[in-house]
Amino acid sequence: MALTADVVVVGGGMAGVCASLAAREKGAKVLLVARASGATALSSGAIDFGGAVADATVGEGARAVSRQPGHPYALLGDALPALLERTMAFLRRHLVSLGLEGARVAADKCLWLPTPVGTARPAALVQSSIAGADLRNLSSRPARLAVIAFAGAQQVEAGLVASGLSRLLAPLGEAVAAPIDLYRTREDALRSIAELARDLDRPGRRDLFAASLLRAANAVRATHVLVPTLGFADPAVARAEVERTVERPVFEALGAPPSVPGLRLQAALAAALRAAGVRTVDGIAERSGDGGVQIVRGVECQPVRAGAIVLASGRFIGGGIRCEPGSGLLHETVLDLPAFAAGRRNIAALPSEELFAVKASGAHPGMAAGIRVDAAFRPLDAATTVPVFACGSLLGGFDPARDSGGLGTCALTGLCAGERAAEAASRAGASAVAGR
Amino acid sequence: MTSYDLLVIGGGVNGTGIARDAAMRGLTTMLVEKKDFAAGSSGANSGMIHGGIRYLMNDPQVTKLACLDSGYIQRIAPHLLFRIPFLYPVSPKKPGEPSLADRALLYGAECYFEAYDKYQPLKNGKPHTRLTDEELHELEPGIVSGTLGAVTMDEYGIDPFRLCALNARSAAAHGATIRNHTVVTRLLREGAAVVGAEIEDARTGAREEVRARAVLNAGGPWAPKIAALAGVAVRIRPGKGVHLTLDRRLSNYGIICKAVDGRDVFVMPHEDSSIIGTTDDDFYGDPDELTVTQDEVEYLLQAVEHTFPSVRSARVLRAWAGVRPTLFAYGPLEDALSRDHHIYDHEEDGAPGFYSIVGGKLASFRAMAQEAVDLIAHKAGNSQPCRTHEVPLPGGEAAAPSAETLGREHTVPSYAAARISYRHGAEAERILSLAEERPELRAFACSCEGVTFAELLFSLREEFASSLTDLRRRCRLGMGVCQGARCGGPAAALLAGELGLSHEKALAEANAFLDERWKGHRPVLAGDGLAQAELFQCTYYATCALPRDGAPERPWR
Amino acid sequence: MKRLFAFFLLGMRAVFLHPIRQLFTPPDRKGKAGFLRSYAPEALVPATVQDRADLVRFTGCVNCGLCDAVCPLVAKLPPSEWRGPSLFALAYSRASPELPHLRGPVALLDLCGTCTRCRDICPRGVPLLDIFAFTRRKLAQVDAVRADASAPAAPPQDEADAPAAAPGFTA
Repeated sequence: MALTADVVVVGGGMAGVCASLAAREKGAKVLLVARASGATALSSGAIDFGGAVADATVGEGARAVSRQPGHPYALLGDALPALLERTMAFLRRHLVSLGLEGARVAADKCLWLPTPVGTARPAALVQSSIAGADLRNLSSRPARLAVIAFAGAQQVEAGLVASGLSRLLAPLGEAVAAPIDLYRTREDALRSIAELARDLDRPGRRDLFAASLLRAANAVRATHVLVPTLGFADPAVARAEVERTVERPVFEALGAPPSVPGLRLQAALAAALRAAGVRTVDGIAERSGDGGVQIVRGVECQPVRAGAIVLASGRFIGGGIRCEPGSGLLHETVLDLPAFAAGRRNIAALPSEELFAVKASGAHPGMAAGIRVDAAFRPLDAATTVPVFACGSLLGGFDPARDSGGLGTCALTGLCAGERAAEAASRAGASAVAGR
Repeated sequence: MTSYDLLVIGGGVNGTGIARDAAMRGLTTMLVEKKDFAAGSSGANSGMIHGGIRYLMNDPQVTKLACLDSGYIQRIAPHLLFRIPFLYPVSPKKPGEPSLADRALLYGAECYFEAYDKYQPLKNGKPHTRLTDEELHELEPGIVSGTLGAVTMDEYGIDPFRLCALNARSAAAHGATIRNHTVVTRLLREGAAVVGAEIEDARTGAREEVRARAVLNAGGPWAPKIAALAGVAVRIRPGKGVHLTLDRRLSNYGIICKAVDGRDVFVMPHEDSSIIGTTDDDFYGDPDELTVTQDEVEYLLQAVEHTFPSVRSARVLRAWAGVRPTLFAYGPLEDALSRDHHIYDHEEDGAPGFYSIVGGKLASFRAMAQEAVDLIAHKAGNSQPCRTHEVPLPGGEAAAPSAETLGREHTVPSYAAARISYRHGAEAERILSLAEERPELRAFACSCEGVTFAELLFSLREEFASSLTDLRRRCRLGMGVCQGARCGGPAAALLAGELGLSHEKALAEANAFLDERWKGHRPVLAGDGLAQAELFQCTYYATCALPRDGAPERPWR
Repeated sequence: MKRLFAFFLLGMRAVFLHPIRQLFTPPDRKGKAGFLRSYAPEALVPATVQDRADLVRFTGCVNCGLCDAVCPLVAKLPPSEWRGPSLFALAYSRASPELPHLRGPVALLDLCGTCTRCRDICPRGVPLLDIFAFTRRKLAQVDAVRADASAPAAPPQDEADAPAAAPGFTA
């Protein structure tokens, strides 16, 4: 039996969820098809819209990256500043459980948050348990920040983080590594932050943790405390409880993949879908014989009847774009659209410096591969019977590792694509869908 | 000014082997290496301790010595060697129509390998067998169908990075002074004689002069440059060799494949992965600036595909290149060049006290070192016998405890214990005992290759490692499936803590390590590799915000 | 000249020595039997056609760690014995001769029940449950080859004889 919806969205990361929610807000009946959680769960959880270098405001940063050739923002023209503010409000509204803090309007500046190697990275919006760690704010006062180390690898890393944050907090403030006395067994040394976060969620653990933090903070005479995690569930509540015991501001750090804030963001996105009444299906979407899409699960194959399709299937990690090792040709995986990087389809043939710089830290247009779309985010080459829109990393032209916005760009383009798909579905497809 | 009997320039397998031999004979010895042990050709080869089967026709004596030496290396570093059974399948030139010539080739190969059997006992090797097509496919179904059969032979693989590091450590234990990351800036002369060198610490730029009664140039591809410092000419015919690393074992056997030009290309298991190699092309560039081209990658994949079609669906982790410092000859094709070696006493060229060693191959390094040290020691009036074939390298003294026992005793995953036992043999226990004092050291720094922080710390303290890329060579840090996508930050943190590096310097070390990982990944970016690259890029340059060129230190001011 | 002589020797071997040797070599030292006899201690088991078809799908892992973050066994077992599913894709399935060292974690797969969280969260679609089955099957095969080598008369071990969970663990 065919699944029906006004809008079918492919991809369950930031872009796909924002597209679904936006379409839903426009009154469309939405079906989201996701194979697995994509790159969003692997992100740091910090949402930035790009171009935050040189201390630009969120709006200035976005405008700066919109001038990069091929960046999706370039398609939005004058609508960008308003969309930026709408996206921020949209995210705050739908991800209430995360208590997103940071920029409210495009004229606000980014937060600068401590990274797992003791540098600072920008975020327009971040979970409330993390936002207090804004280094610009902390550096404006005499702060002594305790960088809490649990056990194992984090204990090795805490020294590096503290030395980096000390540089960023100087001259008024400083950071110092502080081990806690909670996870002291030989086995604990092997535990990851995600494991410890789950442990902290268990009844009674949070109190023990807070007491241990207090001792650690006192031992180094800290004024502020940066912890690797406060647990998975209810970070805002956890933070308030822990702060009561520790008697100092406590913040969570961003983490490297798989980061707790990233996993929390993914969970909050799933919760937002449920709250909005978006139906989700696990499976792989692919092009069907009649020019629409169908969902494949193992050997089962189910057609989908929809008024519009939104592709939010991600880039290489998410699997939306692939380069076959033999042919070297880039292609989009759901509708088999051609994909491009730096204007080229074939990237395996001689990865020249145009595509991938020699240095890891250099510019890699090859990593910003994507499909081509028109100004309405409709793929140029889609030969489908229903209107198709694209959003998120699939669009290409932006590289989260090169300051051009990661989650923020996905959210903003997802919002656009979702709204446009809902409009298209109600315009052209409504009668067709209703007729069935 | 410090004075030595012997100054060795070059920390490859020849240089470290010579330093060890000389130090063991009581010569006061110094070794300088501009980068790190096995950073050049000694680390960019197939990692084989073979018995020299290709010399059987021209010079069976060479084969005998090579096999004998392979046996010695097993004796001194049993933990580092792993057996590789090779399959040599013969396919008819015209598929399905085996000709008499095809059959003769197989029969001839069998007789040839049978002749090689005579030397196999010297290296504890196994005799050849001949397999029918059916038997071959029972053993390795991945080989293309319709062969005439195959002949097998037995060889050994080794971790060449550890071999060189262990030679250097053994030399140091016998009193040698070991300096990696140290460049020779000029040679000291007294009249015509070479009497030492000015050396520069590549990190600090500090210079000093060291005197030596003999200076030996073991620079490999850099040997001509070093010889030029003494005003003498050493000619080599450099040959570039490219290898590919796969994410896992394509086969448990080494398989000899025919490339499009008729050359033999091998795909062979190397530790947990397979490597494919090699190309052999004259190289005229700077050995410091080696890059791999798409053509070279395609040539190798095509060669293996011809015999092993499913290689096309395998994930290629990286491509890497080295330069063979082959003896100069004008005329022969690259492949036909002799792999022989030569030791020059440049007294004949008017530079007494200066020696060069060029050519040779990984498998015969010990015998070559013996020959070189014989020459130099004899001149110095030292008649101590060579003992490098009897005295174990560090870790080779006894068998390592089982991985399960080690893992249980030190509370580390058995995988980490198994890898540590392979890499460090009898020293495994000592390394893991570091984690008894600092429990956090038992955590994985690199899970792909099972590298614990304890192992990294040991290499920093005892194995002359001082950068993340040095640790990559000592412990395979970042050499596994994810190519460094997870380990860069944690390993840099350990490095900074142990060496007392500033934050800025620690991140520069991380960036240098990531550049080196990226260099090998870049020529093979496709398929799953692009997803890996995306995670790598986003982790380091988005989540961790590693500084890039020109980025301000503090973004908000 | 030397080369000519070598060819002559090879010819002699081909015409006389080799056929005679073949005649006097017992069958268990020839062909596949001889090969297996030589390499029994290395316990080299072939990758079957099916294995190879599976292996193509095993290569997608990028070590993102999401599977470890959701695996319920991680909280229940000591981390030195169970680090989560990722190591099976990244390490344990890479080289079958290494499996005897990994008996502990492979045995713990018995405790992995019907949960499919690792597979479901994998952004790369790596078939982790198939990799579990693969390592288990390969270890059993390696053990069978080893058992054959140490006691040629003993019947080959089958999968039912695969090692049980180490004592002292409860799910």
